[in-house]
Formats: sequence, structure tokens, C-alpha cells
Amino acid sequence: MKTTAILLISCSLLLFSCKKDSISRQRKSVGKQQIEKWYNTAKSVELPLDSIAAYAAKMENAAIKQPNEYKAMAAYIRGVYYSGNSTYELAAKSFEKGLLLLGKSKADTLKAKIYNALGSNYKTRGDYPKAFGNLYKSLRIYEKKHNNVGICSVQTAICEVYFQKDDIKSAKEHIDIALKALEKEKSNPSWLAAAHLSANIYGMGGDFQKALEIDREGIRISDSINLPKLKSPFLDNKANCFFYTNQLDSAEYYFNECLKIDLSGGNKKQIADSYSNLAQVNAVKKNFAKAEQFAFQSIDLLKSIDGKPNLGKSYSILTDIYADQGEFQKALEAHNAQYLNYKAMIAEKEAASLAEFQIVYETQQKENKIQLLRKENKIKNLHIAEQNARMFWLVVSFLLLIAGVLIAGYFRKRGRELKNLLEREKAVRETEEHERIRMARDIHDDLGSGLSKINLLSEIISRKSEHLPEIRNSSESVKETAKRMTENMRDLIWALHPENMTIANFVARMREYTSDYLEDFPVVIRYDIPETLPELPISKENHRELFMVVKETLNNISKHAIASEVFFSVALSDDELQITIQDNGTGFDSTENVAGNGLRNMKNRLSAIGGTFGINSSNSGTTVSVAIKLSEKN
Amino acid sequence: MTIKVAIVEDEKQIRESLAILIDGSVGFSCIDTYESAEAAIAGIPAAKPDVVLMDIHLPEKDGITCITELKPKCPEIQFLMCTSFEDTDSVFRALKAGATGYLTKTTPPSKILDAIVEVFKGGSPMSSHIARKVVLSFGTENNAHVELEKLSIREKEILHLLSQGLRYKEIADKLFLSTETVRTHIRNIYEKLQVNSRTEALNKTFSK
Repeated sequence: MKTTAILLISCSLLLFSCKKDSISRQRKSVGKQQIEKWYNTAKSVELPLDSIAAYAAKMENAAIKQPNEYKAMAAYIRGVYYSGNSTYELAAKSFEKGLLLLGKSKADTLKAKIYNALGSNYKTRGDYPKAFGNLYKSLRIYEKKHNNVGICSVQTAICEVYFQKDDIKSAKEHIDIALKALEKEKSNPSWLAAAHLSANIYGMGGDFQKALEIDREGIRISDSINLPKLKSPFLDNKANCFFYTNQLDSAEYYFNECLKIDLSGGNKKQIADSYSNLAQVNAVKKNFAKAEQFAFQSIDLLKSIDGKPNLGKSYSILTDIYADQGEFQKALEAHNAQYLNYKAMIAEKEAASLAEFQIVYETQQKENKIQLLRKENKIKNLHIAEQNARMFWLVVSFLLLIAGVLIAGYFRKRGRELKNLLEREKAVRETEEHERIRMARDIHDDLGSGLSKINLLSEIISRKSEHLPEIRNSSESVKETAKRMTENMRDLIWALHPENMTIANFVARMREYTSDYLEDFPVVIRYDIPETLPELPISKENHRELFMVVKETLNNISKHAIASEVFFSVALSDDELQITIQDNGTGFDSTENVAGNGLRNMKNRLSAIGGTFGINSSNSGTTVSVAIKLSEKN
Repeated sequence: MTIKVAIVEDEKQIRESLAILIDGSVGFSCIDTYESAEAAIAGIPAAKPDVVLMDIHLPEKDGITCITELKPKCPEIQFLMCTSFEDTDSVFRALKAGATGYLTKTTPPSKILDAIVEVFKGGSPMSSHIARKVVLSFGTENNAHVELEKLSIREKEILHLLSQGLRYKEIADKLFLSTETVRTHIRNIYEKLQVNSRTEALNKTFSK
């Protein structure tokens, strides 16, 4: 009776555990399938950036419990997103992470894909040696696997690098290899992309015959596989060839064909491009009314999607259209619009690259912290395990003395080895830190001498062009921009030195900055600052936000206030640091747009870091006060 | 009275632009330019400029070594260091070696000329960062053998106010002195700093 019962129970337990096992196995494979599905969708179709980001996030989440190969897929898609967003530094990091995850795995095709993407990334940033290095790694894998599509794609990328370096001969060599690799599969999108690049190269070199030949074939193939969207780049190339050989009617015809395809595709940037091409052709044909109409259609579309780089080109075409008709007032207006657009683009690029630099630095710091914590945890766990084992063996060695001593000795040796490993890791990290600082110093020196060249040369230009106000204005503008970039760099470098970040140091710097800034203005500055300030640390975010507020306030005072007195006070309590800047100027209307936007921004940013911002203005003066909380971390 | 200026800078375009700037301004004349520390060490004692604009980063020997070698030979020449950004470490070392002031390379040209005038007249510009470093430098008295030049009470006061971010005029007002006196005190602080660094160097050689 007893034995049967035991048998029954153990059998059912066995069955149950088997079932559980197969259920969990099924769940795992569903997860893997899902990630693979997302990967295939995200990499093959031309999706909007937001969708790609969404796929990347989904894949990253799902891949947490999956092997490294799946994490690498997620990293690749993440990299594709960053590339589309033009944040190339972050893209490169994602790709490199993907390669690291793949390590010695056999997922060769994925590795080759990532090497290819990384290579193109370095090409975009102008680092040609690294570009070639990665592209050739990709090529070797594809060649080993006889993957012709891959070979074509990498050879195309290699051609693009040579093309960017202006080495047309090598570019042509490699594109020919790319085309040959898929000559039996011309309907593959990779072949068509290579063909289009080839037509571009011949067209740019003036060999319009050859370019048109390639275009004809590309169009024929796109028609035969019934994918009109793939025809569009060839039509555009044809149109350009005709445009440059002055066959304007044919050029207009083909640009129109392009427009039709673009309108059905719905990509606003491409449609705007086609409009601007048509504007240009009509301008040369002197059909000014039509040209103007196309130009405005292009401009309106680009404004709606904030396409600043292409807006510049469209405004430039519009300027020429007016100038050719002799309408110089309108031409000047269009030119101004182009200049304003350009300035806005530069400002955005500055902010973006500064932000990118910041993000890269902060991501680096966070990664380091996480790695350190993980290592510490590992060691801690090993320690506990070690202690338990020792206890056990001590009890046993009571009966087996010699064996017990030997085993205790073994554990001590392991402990020593772990300690050595930890110290070695520390040393590696310190060297990396030094490398990073050395690199930062090199970049910093390079930037410094570049900026000082700009400063000096533009001063000389200014002096030599005193009777040419137009040139003088431009060179003053250059100087202003260089000055602002210098200030930004200086702030960033300053913030990278942790010893600078004490409250005392920060207030001293604010005081100096204020005195300096208002030096040439007829204002009397009074300071009310406590005699001793603590050498407590202040966090990077607090430091940045406070500095921005002070900068912005001084800017407003110097530009709008017409004040004669400025009062700068600092108050420190147990839990708060408060800075107040008061002037006796004309004040401003807080609904006024320019000042209003800046102030609203400040209010939001300060509440985001747990601080407060207040402003009070009447026609007898303005008071700006900002405060941050002091915790143990500050 | 024309101030004679010499320039030591390895980047051709910067060197030439500075020369044009200085020569083209009233009251200044650029008497010579040097491409490297070695050329400067060879040429400056003979050329006898009033003020030298020296880049810290030079190809073989750097700007700081250059000053260390030139200052004893020509004690009346004032050296203005040029740095990329306020790289306080390099500036501090330069000051200890004998420089009288510093400029950042990205200073607007009018301020460069102002700085040359100030240094020529006996002033020594100091920022709050440098002041802090100087305070620290005098603070560490770990050398029992040799008498380190200590700061007078007045000098300590001035240094303290500088490190809080006050400008010269504000310090002068606060301590009821003239701006000239403040400038002279700061010059003295610099010189004591240079003496200290030389003494430390000697000490290191002898105590080995």
C-alpha cells in the first residue's frame, strides 16, 4: 500500500515537472519568436523614427531574459534609430554594444550587419580608418558565407566612403564589384541601391551617357518587379542629367514623374524636394510664376515638418527667382529668411552636440557606476557563500583534520585571487579614466586653438572692412558665435572637474561672472554675500540651472532693463541656497513674448530639479530669485 | 610710450594674427615672433621686449620650461601666459615658474591689449580659481627644514577676498586701500609663490 502510494505520488510529480518544463520551454520560444519578428519588421521596412524607437524599446525589454544574441538584435535596432535621429555617437555606442554581446557567438550574419552599420556610422563622422576597418570585417564574413546581398551592400558602403573622400577611381572600382555580386539578382533592392549610387557617380563626373544608361536599366527593373517607389531615385538622377545638359523640357518631365511617385508615397521631405527641383527648372526656363508657386509649395511643406537643412536650399532658389525678375526687395526678404533659418539650424546643432556630449558623458558615468555595483554584489555573494562553506568544513575537519586544513587553505587562496582580480580591474578602470581625460584634453586644446584663430582672424577682418558694413556685420556675427561657443565649452570643461563643484567656489564664480559681464555698463553693483560659505558639494544639475538663470537675468538686464543699480544677494539656510538679483530698471511686461518664453522655461527647469523660481516686475525695477534645496547629496 | 611685445606661439596663423593685431594698435609694437621655446630662449635676451606673450603648449620644450630658463636671465621682462581655457593647473605652474599673468586664447582682442598694458604697469591679474590654488599652496607647510616665505596678514586678507570672487576695485574699497596698492600686493604674492617653488625644488634636490 505504502509503496504504491509513494510510486503514484512520485510519478505524478515527475509528470507535473515535465509539463511545467515544456510550458516554460514553449514560453521561451514564443519570446524569442516575438523578438525575431520585431527585428525583421524594424530592419526591412522604411518606418518613421518613432516606430523604430518603439520596436527597439519593446525588443530591449523582451530580451532581458533572453540570451545575448537577442539583446544584440535589440541593440542593433536601437542603433538604427539613433542613426535616423542623427545622434551618431549614441548610434555607434549601441552598435558596439551589440558586437560585444555577440562576442564569439555564431550569429555571423547579425555580426556582419552590425559591422556594416558601424562602418557607415564612422564614415558619416569622417573617421575613415575606423569606417574601412569595420566594413572590411563585415565583408570578410559575408564572403565566407557567400552572401551576395551582403557583399553588394558592404561594397556599396565602401564605395560611399571613397566617394566622400573624392577618390572617384576607387569608388567606381568598388561599385562595379557591388553590381557584379548581384548581377543575377538585379531586382534585389541592394542591387538597385548600388545602381543608383553608380549613376550618381557617373553623373557627378559628367559622364551623362553612362549615367542615363544605368538609370534606364534601373527603371526597367523597377517596373518589372512592380515597385514604382524604387524607380524614383533613377528618375531623379535622369532629371538631373538632363538639367545639367540643358535639356530643360526633359528635365521637367522627369522631375514631374518623380513628384507623382513621391505624392503617392506620402514622404513630405521627398515631396518638398521634388517641388523645389521643379521650381529650379522653371526658374531657368523663365516660367517665373510657375517657379514661384513650386517654391512656395516646397517651403510650406518643409516648414510643417521643420526640415531646416532643405529649407535653406528652397529659400535660396526663391531668392534667385526674384533676383532674375529684378524684384530685389522680395529677393532680399527671401535671402533674410534663408539666413534666419541658417542661424536657427546652427543654434540647434550647437545645443544638440552639447547635449549629446553631455548625454555621452553621463551615460558613461552611469555605466561605470552600474558595473562597479555589479562587481561589488558579486564579491559580496561569493563572500557569503565562502563563509557558509568554511563553517561546514570546519565541522567536518573535526573528524578529518588533514583534509579540512587542505580545503581551508584552498579557499583562502581563492579569496586572494579575487582580491587581485578586483585590484586589476580597478587599475584598468583608472587607466581608462586617464585615457578619457587625455582624449578630452586633446579635444579641448584643439577646440581652444581653433576658436582663438576664429576670434583673431575675424577681428582682423572687422578692422580691414570698416568701410564695408555688410562684411563687417557678418564678421561680428562670427565673433559672437565663437564667443558663445567658447563660453559653453568653458562651462562644460569646468563642470567636468568635480573639485570645482562646491558652494563656495560656485558663488565666487557667479560673483566674478557678474562683475565681468556688467563691467562695461553704467551700473553700480552691490553684493550681499555671507562671509563664509561652506565647501559643501553642489550637484551638476543644480550648478547648471542656477548658472543659466544668472546668465539669462544678466542678459535681460543688459539688453532691456536700462538700470543704474543691480543688487546681487546670496542667502544660505539649513536646507536652501537662494540667489536674488534685483535691478532698478524699467521692468518688463511679463506677457511679452520674448522674455515670457525664457522665463517659463526657467520656471519649469527649476521645478524639475526641486527648486523654485520667482520673478517680480514693475516699472521701478525687476527682482529675480531662484532657490535650490540642499540635501546631503545636493 | 610704445610697449615692445614679443610673441612665442607655434601655430602660424595665430602667431601672425596676434602680430598684426599688436603692431596695428597704437602704443604697441611687435618686435619679434618665435616659433618654439628654443628659438625664444636664444632670441629674447638680445631683443629685450617689455612683455612676452607665451603659449603654454609648444612643440619641444613647453612654455613653462621656457619661462624657467628665461626669467633668471631677464628679470625685468614680464611674461603673459596664453592658455586654451582656464586650465588652472597649467596656469598655476606657470605662475610659480615666473609668469606675471595669463590670458585665455579666446579672450577678445581688446582685452588682450588691456592685459598687456596692465602687466607692463606692474599689475598681475588673478582669478578666484587661481587665488584658491595659491591659498592651498601656502597652506601646506610640510617642510620643516627650509624657511618658506609666508604671506603677510594683509596679503592673506587680499587672497581670501580674491578667492571669494571680488575684483580689485572692490577689494581696495573694502580694505580702504588704493587699487594700485592692491595690485602691488598681488604682485608680491606672485613673487613669493615663485620663491616658494624654487625653494621646494632645491629642497627636493638636497633632501634626496
